[in-house]
Parts: sequence; C-alpha cells; structure tokens
Amino acid sequence: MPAVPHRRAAALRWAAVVAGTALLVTAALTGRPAWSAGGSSSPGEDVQQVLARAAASADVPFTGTATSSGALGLPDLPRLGDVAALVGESTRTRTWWQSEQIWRTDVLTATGERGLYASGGQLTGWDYERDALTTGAPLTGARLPRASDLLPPALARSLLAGSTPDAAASRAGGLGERVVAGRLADGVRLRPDAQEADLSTVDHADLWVDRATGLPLAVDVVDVVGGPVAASSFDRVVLGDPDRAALAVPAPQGATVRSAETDVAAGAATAAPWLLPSELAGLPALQDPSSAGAVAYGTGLLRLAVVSLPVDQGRQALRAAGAAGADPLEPSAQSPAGAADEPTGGAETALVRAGALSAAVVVVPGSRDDGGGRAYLVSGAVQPELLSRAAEQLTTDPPERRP
Amino acid sequence: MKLAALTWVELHKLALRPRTWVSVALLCALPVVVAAFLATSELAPRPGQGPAFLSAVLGNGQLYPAAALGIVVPIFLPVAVCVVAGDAVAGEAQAGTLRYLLVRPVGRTRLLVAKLFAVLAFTFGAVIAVALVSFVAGTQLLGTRPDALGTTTASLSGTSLSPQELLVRTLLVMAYVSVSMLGVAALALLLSTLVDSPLVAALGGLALLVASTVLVGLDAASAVHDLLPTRYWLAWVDLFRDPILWTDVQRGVLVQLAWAGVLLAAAWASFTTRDVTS
Repeated sequence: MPAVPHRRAAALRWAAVVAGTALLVTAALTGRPAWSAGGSSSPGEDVQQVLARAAASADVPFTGTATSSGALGLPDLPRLGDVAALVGESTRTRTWWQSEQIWRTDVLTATGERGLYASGGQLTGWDYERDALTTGAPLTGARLPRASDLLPPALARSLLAGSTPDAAASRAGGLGERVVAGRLADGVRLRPDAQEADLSTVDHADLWVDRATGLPLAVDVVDVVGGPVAASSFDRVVLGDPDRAALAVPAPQGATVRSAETDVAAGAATAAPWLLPSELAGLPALQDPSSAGAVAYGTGLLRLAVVSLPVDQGRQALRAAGAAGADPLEPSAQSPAGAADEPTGGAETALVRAGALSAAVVVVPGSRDDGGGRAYLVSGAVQPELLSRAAEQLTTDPPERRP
Repeated sequence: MKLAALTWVELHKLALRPRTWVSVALLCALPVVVAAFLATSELAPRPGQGPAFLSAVLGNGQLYPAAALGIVVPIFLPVAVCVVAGDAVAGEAQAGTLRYLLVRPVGRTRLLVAKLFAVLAFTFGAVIAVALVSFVAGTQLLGTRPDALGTTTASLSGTSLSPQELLVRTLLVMAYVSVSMLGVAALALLLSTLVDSPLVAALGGLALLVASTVLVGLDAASAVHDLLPTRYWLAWVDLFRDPILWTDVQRGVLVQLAWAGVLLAAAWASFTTRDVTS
C-alpha cells in the first residue's frame, strides 16, 4: 500500500476515535439539556409565590434519591445516634413520600441500608447490618435530627418555618431557573436581614423549587466565609404517589426487634425541669414552649435551639467542655455596663464552636430549694453574641419550674 | 478466516493455557478461604466494616456468591482480566507469532474482535466459576438458615426474597460484575496493541484501576467522579435492595460501555494502523 493513502487512512481512523470520544465526554459532562427537563414549561413565578409553594409542599408525594452533606464537625458522642455523620458527612438517601405522616427514607451505604418508616404516627427503623428492627419511636416531638430532615423539601421547609412567605420574600432574590434531577426549578436566595446578619453565621441559603409542583429539589446553605453549612439535592425524583408496597414496614425473620431508645434531645425534653420562655434573645419560639423542654427559636435564617437540662447533667457538660479547652461566653453587647466582671449574670458558661455552629452550656447556680440551680444547652448557626444574649436572659429572668 | 472460526481458535488457545485455569482457581480460592475462616471463627465484620454481606452470610450461605463476587471485584478479578487482556496481542508479538498470524488471510479487525471475545469469555467464565464455587462453599461451610432453602432470605431492606428471587438477583450481580470489568479490559487490550510486552499492557490496565480508585476517594475530584470506571463497581449491592435501586447500576453499565467503546475504538485504530514487525 502506498505510504500517503495509508497515513491518510490512519489519520481518519484516529480522527473518528477522537471525535467520538469528544462527543461522549461532552454529553456526559453537560447532562440533559434544559429543554428536555420534566415539569411545567410556563414562565417562572415571582419569589413570593415560589416560597409560598415551597413552604406548603409537605403533602406533595414523590419518590427519589438525594444526597445531602454537612460541614458541621461534631464529635461522635454516645446517644447522639447518626447526628455527627448526618451534619458532618455526605449521606445518600432514597425516599418514598406520601405525606408528612406516611413516608419511608432509607440511608444507603456501600454495605447496607438503614430505613425509617413513618406510619400510624410512629417511626420504625430497620438496620440491615445490625439485623435489627426498632419500633415505637414517636413521629413528632423534640428529637435529634434524622436523615429525612436533610431531604431538600424538609430542609427548605425548616428554613422557611420562621417567616411568612411575604416576610421571607422581602429578604429573598430570584436566581433564575436551572434543571435539578431532570426537572425545571426556580431558584430563590434567602438572606438574613440587616439585623439578623450580625448575629448569624449563615450568609445565604439557595432554594431550587420545582416549577410544576412547588417541591424543593435542592438547597445550599452557605456561611459568612463562603463555606458550605449544609447542602441537599435530589439526584433523581419522580413526582406522584409512591409505590404503596415500598411503604410497608418490613418484618424480617430472625431479626432483633426492640423498642426505640429515647434520644438525648427527646430525653432532655422529657426530663427538662424548667419552662422555656416564649421569646428568647428577641427571637420568637417556633414551638409551644410549655409542651417541651427543647424549643427552637428564630426568624428568617436565624435559628437557636435551647434544651433545659437537669443541673447535674449541665455541670457534667460544663466540665467536659472546659476540659476540651472551651472558653466562657463573653458578656453580650446589650449587658449592663460593668457586667464584664460577672459574665452572663453570674452563670457559668462554656462556648464550643464547630464550623458555622456555636453551642454554649449555661449553668445558673441556685439554692437547695431551687433544685441546686438550672442548666441549659443553647446552640445554632449563630454568632456567640446571640448565645450570650440568650444566656443572660435565661439567667436574669428565671423561668418557672415545669408542672 | 471467518470471525466465528477465528473466535473459536482464540477460545481454544485460552482454554489450553494453564495460566487461565491457575488464575480462575486463585480467584475461586480466596472466597473459599474467607468462608472457611468465617465458618470456623464465626466472627463477621462489624456493621459498616468489611465487604458487603459478610455479616449476613453466617448461617445463610446462599448469599455467599454475591458476597464472594464483592470480595474479588475490587482487585483480584480486574488483575486477572488485565493479565488476559494485556496478553491478547502483545503476547503474540512477544512470542514472535503476530506477524505470522497476520500473514494468513486474517483481517486485523476480525483478529482484534476475536481477541476481545476471548477476554470477555474469560471474564464471564471467571465470574461464573467464583459464583458456583462460593455457592458450594457457602452452603457447605456456612450452612443455611433452617427456613432458608424452603422459603426466604432478607433483602437489604429487610423484606423477604424467595429462592427464585435470590437466584435472579445473584444472576444480575454476576452480569453486572462482568460488565464492570469492560473498562480495564479495554484499556489493557488497547495497550496490548501498542506495546510488545504483555506485562506492560496488564500493568497499564491496573494503573487505570488504581488511578480511578484514588480519584473516586478524593473529594476534590468530585466533578469527574461519575465518569470514572470504578465509580459504580460496588453498585451491585443495589440489586439486593427492595425495590431494586437501578440508578447506579444503569449508570455503571453506561460508564463501562463508554470507556469500552472509546478504548476499543482506539485499539482498533492502533492495531489496524500499526507496523507489525514481531
């Protein structure tokens, strides 16, 4: 064969290989184009409508897989369950959602599966690797975060819980549209208002809401230095009623069946000796403070969780935090002049910070008649100044004992 | 020579090589050794540690074929596949038989396709052998739950799988594991057309395996994770969830087909262009 045609044929072959590779890589990297996305193709709504629909999306049924991640480096402590992993690592879930009362969320791992089944007002847990079924956990009430809380719809609704859609919209801006999990979504960026911004470690939260149904499909919460606080996004989602068979609680033969343990938050809420106020550090309670010893306070993106602890547990926590090098809280900017010598109204405090999260243990000394004093755990994605304000109010304005 | 005849010749050569049977025997030996240790010690890995299913196979050896495939997938199976694929063309060149082979009325494309079929046959054969041997080892050494043969086994989701469902899912795992080897096999075959040393070709395939495994574990490389050939290797576990989670299995098959398509096309361009001198 003559050399030139041979070289030309070789060049053509290699050119075909390179062109085919380029096509494949382009298709893989760009994914599905926007025009092929599912959902409505009607023009986007205004921010207020998008937020109103996202806040009311609890009963939008769906089936999907999602990935959530957090950057809060909590230590892996006993009785905290999977919380440290949920808020500090990447978690992949598969969910069948009929309504807030009926759903199933599986945490998918490389070697197993941990399922949560909600039905009849109760939660049942299945852990494949422990071959154990856990029954009887209450669906509502004070508790630690669980995997279903980090699904994009649940995370978005919790961010919107402290505001009306009108109020949230006043601090929000549109982000346009993008395709999430193959569906067309409208983006909204929530920001703290000027007053909240000084007290929050959260800079903004981006919500991507399905245009057809209002279901939040992705959420990104970013801190004031531009780092991630939490992110959650559907990889794949199908709108509509889930497969009923998938919602049935399993009854594996030979598995260990046990009653759900009370987690540390629920236990503290049950055992909490003191009532919590209806407003703390200027923030309204998001739950009825008379019904639980663990209450969330907040507006907009500002959130503060308070747990009333038995005083001996509070002192243990204080000693543990002190041994770990925690400093006491500084007096707040609102404290009276001269209070610097007596930080936070005479209470003993310890401040722990992990990424965007701040937490403080507050122990208020008291007389024997007073049960030896009071103790609280106050935490949130907030600046220490807000914790100091909360600690001062809890110290100087003592609440009543729970009935 | 027609493709079928050429493929038959390649399969015949593969079957007659002692190294083929030695590598299959070694692949099968590892799960047997693991089953023996599990059976004698009755110590399964703790939850979240060790290969999938090893904590479940104690007392239910029917799950052991899937567990055994999970043991050989990360390293041993791809090593064996790379050795066979790397030897396909470079072995002929190193032995000095390639130019004589091409003197016969054998098209280079057809020869390459026949070599590819031989590599695929080895991969499927090795997977079947591991599954069969580990089934025997599992049921004999680890036993079965009293109700297992007659009724059910638990899926990862805690629901019951009948023996028929278990068989279908195990067959799906075997098919998926075989397809998962396409990427490294195709690279080893490409390198086999470029160099005259089977060892270099096999090591090249393994280099892709190691690089991909490192990048999959690196958060900074998350933008390309979904394109890496080992990204979805462990997705076979999803075939034991209920309902089956197909997403990653489908992606895994597509990624393997894409890698295999590109690398085999390059192998074809290389082999049909190359000056064969040895």
